[in-house]
Amino acid sequence: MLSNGFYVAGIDMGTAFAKVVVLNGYGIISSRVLPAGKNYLETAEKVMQAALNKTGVNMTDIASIVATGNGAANVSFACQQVSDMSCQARWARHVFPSTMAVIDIGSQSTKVIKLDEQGRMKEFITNEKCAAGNGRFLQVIAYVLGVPLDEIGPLSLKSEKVVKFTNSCAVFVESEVISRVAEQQKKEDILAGVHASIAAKVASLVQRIRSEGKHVLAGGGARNIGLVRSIKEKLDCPLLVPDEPQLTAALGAAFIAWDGLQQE
Amino acid sequence: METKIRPLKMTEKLMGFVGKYWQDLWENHRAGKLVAWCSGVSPHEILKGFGISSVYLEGYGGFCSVAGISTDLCNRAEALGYSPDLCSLIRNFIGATRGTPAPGPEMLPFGGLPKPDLLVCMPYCPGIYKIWERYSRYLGVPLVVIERPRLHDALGKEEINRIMRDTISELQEMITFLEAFTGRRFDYDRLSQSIAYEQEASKLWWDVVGMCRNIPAPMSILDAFSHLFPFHCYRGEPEAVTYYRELKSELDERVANNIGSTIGLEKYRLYWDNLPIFFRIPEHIQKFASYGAVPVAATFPFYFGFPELDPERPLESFAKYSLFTPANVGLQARIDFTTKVVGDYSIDGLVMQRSRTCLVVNMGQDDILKELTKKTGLPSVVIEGDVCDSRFYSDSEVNSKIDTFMEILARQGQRKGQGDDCGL
Ligand code: SF4
Repeated sequence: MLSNGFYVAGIDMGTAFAKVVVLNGYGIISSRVLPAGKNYLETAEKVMQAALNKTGVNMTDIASIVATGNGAANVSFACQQVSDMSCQARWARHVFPSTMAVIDIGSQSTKVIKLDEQGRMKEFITNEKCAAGNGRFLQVIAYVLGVPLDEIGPLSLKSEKVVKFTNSCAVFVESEVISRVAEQQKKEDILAGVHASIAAKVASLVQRIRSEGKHVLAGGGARNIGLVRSIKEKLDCPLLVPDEPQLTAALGAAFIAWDGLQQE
Repeated sequence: METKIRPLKMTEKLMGFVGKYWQDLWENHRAGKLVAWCSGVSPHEILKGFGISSVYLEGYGGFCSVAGISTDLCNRAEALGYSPDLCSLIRNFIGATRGTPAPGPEMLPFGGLPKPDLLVCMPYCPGIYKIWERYSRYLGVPLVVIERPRLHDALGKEEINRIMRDTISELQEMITFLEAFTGRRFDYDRLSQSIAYEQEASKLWWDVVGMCRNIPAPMSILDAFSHLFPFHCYRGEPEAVTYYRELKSELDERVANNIGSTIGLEKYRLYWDNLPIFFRIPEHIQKFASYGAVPVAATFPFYFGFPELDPERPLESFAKYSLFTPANVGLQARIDFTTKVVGDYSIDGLVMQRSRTCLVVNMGQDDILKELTKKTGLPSVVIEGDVCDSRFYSDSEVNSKIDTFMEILARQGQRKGQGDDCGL
């Protein structure tokens, strides 16, 4: 049995952000999020170093590192690569043991991961090759509207008249948004409409995979309270939201690193 | 230990066989002999009875996709005004024959398609029929359409008998038309001979596919998709029999010596649903092999050939072939057939390929998956792809789905683990 003093880390190299969680048997020691640069390995080293800063822990003290996310293969200092969905499932099992599915709204794609009774990944589904259902789409819309990304959620909650978008293509919705702005529609109404269209896509994934019971939201998209509310309205099941949804895959990766050491 | 692919000797011979067919086809065309472009299950065997050379156009689309030029050809069809939503096999074909800018013969597999004297269509899908109608006008050549109703589950015996009679009489009408068109009397003996070859090749082909039931499987079913090409080229010809006899004997040897398609353990056996993604076959074989997984079963190979063909009753048995091929039956029959294949091949997981632009094969796929999951409890993954248009395919997305799926399989534990590492 491993002593609680050992350190492990999970690193999630997403397409928009790189995240690291360092933990030991007593809990999370440190975590860090940085924008993903052009060079995955460089970013990975940077975010890792940033997470270790001021902790008194060195790279050489870390017994195991698990990498996940689109750029995981580039993290040459990781001991193992695991898919982000396995990491999300592992995180959910630990943090919300009664949950039956994870909805992960990442920058590149949206996924629904169905769990079995033991909290292990049983099945998964991802959105089709279209940006309209994921985080990158929200970044584009925020840019078009000139609203900082962190503010689009709270602003959308002020909406009194949700704008309906008929199109499901990200590029067309972008030009529709520009037309609505020209028509002097309020930004909060436009944002509420965009959230509703993403929520509809999420709901259709949940229906297709036929997941039931408690669902938990994860990924950067879950930081947007406007989107969270829209998803809650669309789903016919209880929805849990963690405090730091952007870190969930990295945390799951760290748990997997810990599990691996325990088994050795 | 790293898993490596063990190539079949017949794969080296494949292009020789196929190349010879195209060379002969072009020579026949240049010598003034008649050439027919055929689609669906068209009765190539009847054409042989008139000495007409036939080309299977969907098969040509497969070649273009394997050659990596189909997306370019699809673009050339779109430049003419065709929608990207149209089936990519059809766009590929339009791009190859009328595309703008016109592709030079050096770009196309086998120098392209010789201009036809006749179009023959026994369609799987309405899209195919409509495009031949258009080509008949454009090229000014006759179009023979043999209607082949799709069977649905609720049809009774009476209705099926009526459909059989209608199909046979359509085949007879085709013969009458061709007698007038060629000015020749139909050679029934040649038809029987051709059906006999087709039957023999069908038996061998189904045997070859059936050998993947062995653990370890002597060949990946994705490889089998490529070995379908001689079937497309040499319909009703002795060359197909020769080819599949040789392929079968190579596989027999592997089975006898317990040699699998990969070097290393065959840990997971997979079922592949729907059409192949021709432009990624080797990559998919490699990707699965890196996990010790081998796709060993599919229903698509059974769309080709019909061991019940009967040279004594050529038209009747051909009508039966065209109607009862698994591609043409009702949804419940498809579900039953797929469930049987999954059961027979000791499958551990299901890979459901959703071919973006083929509505015909996609329709019902969700029902098939739901039923399969209910009956077998096997884990599954849906990957999005396309037969010919790589713009509907993303390597990183598919690879990450496969990675995740393999993690699910690994957690369930390998159950076969047979194979060898003898390094042959
Ligand atoms: S791929 Fe599908 S849509 Fe295209 S010709 Fe074949 S059956 Fe029809």
